[in-house]
Amino acid sequence: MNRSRSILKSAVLALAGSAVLATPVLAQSAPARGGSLATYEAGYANGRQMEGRTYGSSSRERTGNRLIVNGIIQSDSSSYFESDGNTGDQAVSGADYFSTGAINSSSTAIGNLLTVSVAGSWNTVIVNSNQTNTGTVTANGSVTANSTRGTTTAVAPNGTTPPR
Amino acid sequence: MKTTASVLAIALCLAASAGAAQAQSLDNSQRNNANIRAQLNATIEHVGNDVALTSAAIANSFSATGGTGSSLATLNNYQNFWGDARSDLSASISNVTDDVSVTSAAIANSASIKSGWVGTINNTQLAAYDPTSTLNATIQHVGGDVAATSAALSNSASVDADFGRLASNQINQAGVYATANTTVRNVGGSVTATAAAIGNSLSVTGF
Repeated sequence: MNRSRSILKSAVLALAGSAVLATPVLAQSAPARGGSLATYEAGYANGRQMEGRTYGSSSRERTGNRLIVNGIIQSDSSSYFESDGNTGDQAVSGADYFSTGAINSSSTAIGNLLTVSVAGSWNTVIVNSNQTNTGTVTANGSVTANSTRGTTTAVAPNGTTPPR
Repeated sequence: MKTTASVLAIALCLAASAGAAQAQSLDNSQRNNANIRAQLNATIEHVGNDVALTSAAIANSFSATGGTGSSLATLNNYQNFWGDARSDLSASISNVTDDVSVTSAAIANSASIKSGWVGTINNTQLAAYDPTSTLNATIQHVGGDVAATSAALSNSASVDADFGRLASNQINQAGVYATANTTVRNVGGSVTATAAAIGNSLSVTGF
């Protein structure tokens, strides 16, 4: 009987000891999971243990819309805007502004422009758009104005000459 | 007499069925290999109303409009432009009591779709050569607003419909040039001057 109690006591102590020892091990392994290697282990756009989770409908916003552009669910399902004005694009805007004039002058050069606007609710909108621009896109605008009345306002897009 | 009545009844039945049926497919294919040129030279003075001038060179244009309750299974649009679209507008405008608007536009391919339900929309637009728009305007002594616009677009598509799937392929290999030179004097209202050059543009709204 005493021998049995001794064995049981030893087993309990062994389990307790292993638990105490296991805790630091887990604590040490945590930083390793938080390292950059974990992102590769999980796979592209996949989190840990996602296989065992049910699908979350978080891709829908308050309106219930789901917007998928070129195979990617957009975080903002109500609108999508993409503008590309790079290769060979040139935009020049020049304008003379007078303190007494109301002038709006804009010069815009855009290679590819995609705009999606969803106004309803509980829609799944799938847009596959392929836009290729290899040409030079140039917009030149010049305005000379005087003796106009109102408030002066100038609009110049990125890459244009700022108003003087 | 009885035979005639029967034939008439069948004909009416077929007509009613045709009227009730929904259009299932709409296919548009446009190809333009020619040069498109629009030129407007205007001198306008002493007008007691609005003045609006437009010079527009458009190669391929497609517009489909259906009511909010319309239903279409498939809409296919294919536009290919292999020429030059050029628009030139030169204007001298003075002494206008109201608003003045001048617009020069060069467009290679344009598609506008406004409808109710469309199952699948396929849009393909190709532009090879250069749409070019120029605007030279001198506008003075205007009582209202002044708007001057020079716009050049290669491929433009606008969709306003409740569709199931939209696939659009727009390819622009052309140079796109928009130039606006505007001189404005003595304007009572606001002045808006715009030069816009766009290679590919797709606008989707609705739902």
